[in-house]
Amino acid sequence: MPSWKSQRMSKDDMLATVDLLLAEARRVSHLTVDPTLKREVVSYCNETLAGLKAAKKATEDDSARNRLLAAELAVMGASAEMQMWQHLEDGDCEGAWGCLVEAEDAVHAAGIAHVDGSAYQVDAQRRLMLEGTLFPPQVFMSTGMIVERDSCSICSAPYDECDHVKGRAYGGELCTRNIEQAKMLEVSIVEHPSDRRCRVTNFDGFDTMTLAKEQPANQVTQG
Amino acid sequence: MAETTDYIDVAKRASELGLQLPEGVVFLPRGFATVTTAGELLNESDAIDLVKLLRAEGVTAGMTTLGGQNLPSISEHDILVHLPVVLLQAVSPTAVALMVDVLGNYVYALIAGVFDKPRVKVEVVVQKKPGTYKSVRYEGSIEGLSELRDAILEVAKDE
Repeated sequence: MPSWKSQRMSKDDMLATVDLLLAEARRVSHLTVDPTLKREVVSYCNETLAGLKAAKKATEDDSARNRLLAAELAVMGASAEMQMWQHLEDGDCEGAWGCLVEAEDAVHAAGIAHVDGSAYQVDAQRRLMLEGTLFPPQVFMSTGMIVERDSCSICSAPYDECDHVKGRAYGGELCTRNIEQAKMLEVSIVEHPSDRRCRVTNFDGFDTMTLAKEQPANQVTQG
Repeated sequence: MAETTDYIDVAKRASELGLQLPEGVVFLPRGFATVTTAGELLNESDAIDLVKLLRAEGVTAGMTTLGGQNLPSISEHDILVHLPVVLLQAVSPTAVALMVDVLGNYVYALIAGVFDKPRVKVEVVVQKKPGTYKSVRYEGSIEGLSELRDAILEVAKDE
């Protein structure tokens, strides 16, 4: 893999390097592949992210910044996917689930950040398949609330008073609606939550990830 | 498939509730047709984004207000898009086409990659003349939204 530290790259060269990195991530993203190779990809991802952030800062062009942001999100997704495998090797199912959700969300955001980011959607379907193969079906939670005070992450104005739209990219940053004060209405069980980390973790004494019966706290023995 | 039915007199209902209706494309609050008092009304969270996106396309759009203030909005953290009821008042065919495109792109951006076959459910109320309103309901694929556009245009010209 080309090193970001050793050379100054044009934006196009950077994006081509990102494509190579993502191809390598796909190549090693299998259960039987040597964990060292996955760790190497994470290391390349970190280096690449630093390069993309620096390039984003250096350019004045909003569209170019958004394009670099889309690449950044795709690389974040690849890194999270590699880390999912590391968590699984360590027997940390919760951590693995969190990384997979992060990877799925990142590639989705990349597709919205810039029109060219839709090319990264090729990983979305693959990650959905990984989810269905590696983890049992989960039950999710969703909150409903009345927003009393909010703001836009781009301009800090109340969200309904500015022109920025949440999830879209502006000058290389994703817009979010920051809910600062809200009244809780309800918590529901839903099939498709906006945050799939909000899930039922235990049902009737069983861990919903491992499906193993959990020991009551007073029966847990020290090993 | 798009289905057309009669709808309540929106202007009269808004007046009963003390609401102000802006011009053009208006996103009606949840419970508009059913609540007892305006205090129960809530704007759908998606309405704010849709107003911004339509205005960016040059379409006059807004939300109902109460005493000049926006109604509180509801935020629900599931990915199903709670599209608000859309009211069209004296809107041109071009604006109708833009509105349908904006709706489709908005839903697609939210749920692409999450569902194999994303579906959308939306109700559009068309003002035919003062006091007369028709509702066009559509449920189906994003690609099929052209049916909604055609049904709205049909209702708008049908006298």
